Amino acid sequence: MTEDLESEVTRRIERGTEDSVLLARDVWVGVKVGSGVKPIVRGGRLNVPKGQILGLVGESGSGKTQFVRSIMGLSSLEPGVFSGSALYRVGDGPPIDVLGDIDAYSPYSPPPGGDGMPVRQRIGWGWVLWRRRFRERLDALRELGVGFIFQNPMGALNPYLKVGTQLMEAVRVARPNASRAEAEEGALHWLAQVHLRADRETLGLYAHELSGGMAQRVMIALALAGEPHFLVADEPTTGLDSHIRREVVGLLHRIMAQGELSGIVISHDLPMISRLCDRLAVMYRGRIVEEAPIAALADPESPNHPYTRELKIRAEELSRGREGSIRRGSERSPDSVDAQLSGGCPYRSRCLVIADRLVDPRLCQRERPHLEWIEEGQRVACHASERDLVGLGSRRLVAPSLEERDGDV
Amino acid sequence: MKTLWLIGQKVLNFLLVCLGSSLLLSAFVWISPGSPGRPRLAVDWDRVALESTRVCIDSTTCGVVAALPPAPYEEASLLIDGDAAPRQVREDFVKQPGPQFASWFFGTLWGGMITGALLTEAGDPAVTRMVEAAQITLPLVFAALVGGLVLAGLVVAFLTWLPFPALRGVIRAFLLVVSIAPVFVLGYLLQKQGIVPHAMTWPVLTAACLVLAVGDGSLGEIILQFEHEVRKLRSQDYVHAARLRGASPLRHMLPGLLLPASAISAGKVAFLLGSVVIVEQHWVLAGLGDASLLAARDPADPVLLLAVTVVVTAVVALVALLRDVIEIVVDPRLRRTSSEAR
Amino acid sequence: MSPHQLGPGADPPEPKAGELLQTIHRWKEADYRLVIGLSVVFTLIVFRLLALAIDVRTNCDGLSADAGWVAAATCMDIYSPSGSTGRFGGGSGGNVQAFCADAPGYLLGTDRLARPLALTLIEASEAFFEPALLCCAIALFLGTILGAIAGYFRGGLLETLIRFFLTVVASYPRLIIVIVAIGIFTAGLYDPGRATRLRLAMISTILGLAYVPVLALAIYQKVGSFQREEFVEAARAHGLSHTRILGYHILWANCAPVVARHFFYLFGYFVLVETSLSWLGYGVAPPMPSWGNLLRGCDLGPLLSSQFIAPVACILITILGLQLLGDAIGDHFERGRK
Repeated sequence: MTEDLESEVTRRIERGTEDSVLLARDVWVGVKVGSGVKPIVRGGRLNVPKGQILGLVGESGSGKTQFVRSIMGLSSLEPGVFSGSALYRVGDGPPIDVLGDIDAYSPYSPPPGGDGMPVRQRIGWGWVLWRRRFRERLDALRELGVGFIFQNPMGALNPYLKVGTQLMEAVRVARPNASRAEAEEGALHWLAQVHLRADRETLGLYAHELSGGMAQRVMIALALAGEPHFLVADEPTTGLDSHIRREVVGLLHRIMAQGELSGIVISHDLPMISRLCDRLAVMYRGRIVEEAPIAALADPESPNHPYTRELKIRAEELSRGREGSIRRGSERSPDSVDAQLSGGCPYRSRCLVIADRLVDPRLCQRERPHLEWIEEGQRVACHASERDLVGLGSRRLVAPSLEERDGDV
Repeated sequence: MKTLWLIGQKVLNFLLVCLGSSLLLSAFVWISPGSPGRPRLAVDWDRVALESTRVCIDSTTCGVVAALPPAPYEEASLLIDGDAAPRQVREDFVKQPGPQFASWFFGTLWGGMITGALLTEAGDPAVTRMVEAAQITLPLVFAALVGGLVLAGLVVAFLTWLPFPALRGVIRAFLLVVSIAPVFVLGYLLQKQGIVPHAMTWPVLTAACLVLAVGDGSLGEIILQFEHEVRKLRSQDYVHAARLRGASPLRHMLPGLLLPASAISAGKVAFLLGSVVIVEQHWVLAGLGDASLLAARDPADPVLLLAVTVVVTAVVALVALLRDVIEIVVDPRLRRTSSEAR
Repeated sequence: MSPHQLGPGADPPEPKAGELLQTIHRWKEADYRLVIGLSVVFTLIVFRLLALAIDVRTNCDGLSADAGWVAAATCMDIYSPSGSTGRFGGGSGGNVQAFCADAPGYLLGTDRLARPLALTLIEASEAFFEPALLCCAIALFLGTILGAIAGYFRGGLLETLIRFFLTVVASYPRLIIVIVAIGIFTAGLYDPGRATRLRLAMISTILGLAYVPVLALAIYQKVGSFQREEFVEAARAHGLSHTRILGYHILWANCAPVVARHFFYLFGYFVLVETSLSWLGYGVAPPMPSWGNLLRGCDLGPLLSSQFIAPVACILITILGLQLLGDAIGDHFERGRK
């Protein structure tokens, strides 16, 4: 159950028979560092089935935000994406590849599958043409109806315009011919949907006059006012007080439980992901290391990737109030540069599987594991066998802490 | 209304700055030893103390009062430094520092400027001279300002679009080097192209304006500041969000560009008014800069110097006022009142 | 951080074109601004030291070049403080050039006054080197103090007064105020040498004072941003005096990049102003050379002659180099702090 199934699924998607709203494959995104370019998303892949919400999980710095923003046209283009494809299903037609032909337009393309590969900046007139096509495809995407909830509400609201103006503009995305009165009515409707006071006074407020929670809700209203079929929420609760966080999560749950909506929720908060999402994708240092149904989060015997296991342990300890071990754990093992660049598994320096000696460490050092199907709907990138991964979970069931693990390594 | 109150504060600030700058300069002129002053006021001989009050009658001639004149006090006797024999001097050539400064400043200087009674050395009223000169200089400076902003905007837009990073760097470096050239060097280059400053024709004026907008580092600074602002603005999430909604990102970027543009303008006006001195000299234009140069020539004409400086500082302060008003109108954060929700 | 890493299991090295690009990238990492700026400053210092030994009027076999430049002087629009050109009018054309054509200083030919151009360019550095240092010293000293005090003791009358004063001074265009000062203080001086020295002193003092608001505002903003952070309160709680906090922790440790940038920018700006004023005739008067007054002439001659290009090149390279150096040093200070 490996490459054959994957290519079969891919073929089905390309033929348009698979019911996916978004399929991104082999996406490489880079940022400028000094005079070079450093890839922060390496061969990223995402599959969002229609009507389902995908949770993208990973620690900060794993590249999840950059990944999603790049394939939606929300981040800077240079160097930005330099390889990959992102197919969107818009209406009944063939899927649109937003990043189409990017390799053809760039004079330098990376060798496939390499680590630490030399990446060059885009140059040339081909790039101008590609940029224009990219924008045209994004325009076509708007038919799908795309909404994005940004991480920082204060940054995403225009400080110079009133809230009402921005809301009415968003309403006009879904209803281009709305009159001013209709647009205002729509704006008030969406304010009510997010449990804000729906009156003229609220419409007349400016961004700096809103509290954090209010601003977040206004942003959700802005995203919803376009009546999207595809909604992305990027860390929607970071920085909010706990009671506001509960309200926002409840609001999102209500919205996302409505049948037709597909989407992605990006977060490192596992309980929220398990409440809101149907599927899970785990990202580590720019790579997707696991794809699974959401039940795999709650199931202690699920054959999760060791990194997912680490996240679950941390979440569990956090909920029990044992924050100290989590902080220590994260300080204990910063990933060395070697792990990134010498072609082995990037997670090996903190891996529980190696700590428990379930796998030959030299294998992990030599060869990078690829995503392989383990169970129906679940894929994991690890050299350990399914049995070992399940065993890892059960052994760790009785409140292990990372302090105990220190003694081993 | 909050907005009007804030604007009123800025207008008051403007008036105070104008007053303060002319006061500072006038005091400077009044107390400097080489300055004639020439207040042409009646001297209060009752207050003059013999042999201790130091008075000056021109740039190099100072002394102490040797003998008071008999009533009705038309002439005094001054002992000039290094010269034993006292000299008779007329009343209107004697300067008294201190209390007379105030009456000189408000009455003679400002009063005379406004009513036209204040005369320059050449004999014409300072105010008419200023009006004539300003008619040449101010349009030139503002055209150069707007032209510089437009040019820089075009350059920045082009550089942002250009897909060749190396070429971008080369173009930027080239423009910076050209911009650093002093205005008279650029003037010579244009002169060689045949634009000779022999008459005030449109080509000559356009050339002068261009040289003013580009030279002395002016264009280079505006380009750098614009690039910085545009880069900051494009990375703002609300611009991305607008693009996602299908709204025009330009409409959202416009207030964000207007504020730095007005700030840049306010800074540039003072700079341009300085460079215009050289431009006017080169292109033979009788503007404010040329007037200041004439006034600084020997024998110096302090009235003209003061008049020019007053006009020029008023213009600078006015543009700063405009910038403040634009900021208040465009940026709602400045209109925050204490009663509003946080 | 180079993306080009080789290790076990990595891909084979990329093709030749890529290697060349990588080499160029590595060269690019050297800060070219620092290189250019430092070489310009070094050259200026060398020029200034050489200028101590050079006196172009008597360099040519002991022959005074007065005869030569007297003739040319009637063509030049020389501003004389006395208002008349009586001292310099008339005179026969000299053939000084014919005598001195083999001397080394004639590498670039002669200027309009028949002086050897190369040596004249070097001696012209006298015109701006020390005055610029004086100007920068004044501006830095006053600007830092005023800006720091205003930024540190916020919210009081002192801050308002200082800011108002700075706004007032900033509203004078710098060049105009320099001309006003020259007009007031140096009119009536007959000796061109003394007049020049006094004018240079005036220019540097007044320009320094006029630049104070710019620097003070920059320091004010910087100090103000630190004031908001908690470490100031913590330091006060530990008993450190205001002077120590402001002088060492805030200014010395953190405002160095701002000060460095403005120092070099002001030096370059001084060169620009001095050159322009000398060209106008209100700065350095002949026979003392300055790059500005070398460019002044009623008959400009061909554009590609060294008489035009050499002084212009000197001016451009100097100002550019100083600005680049200021940027580079400012960036390095900031980067070192991060």
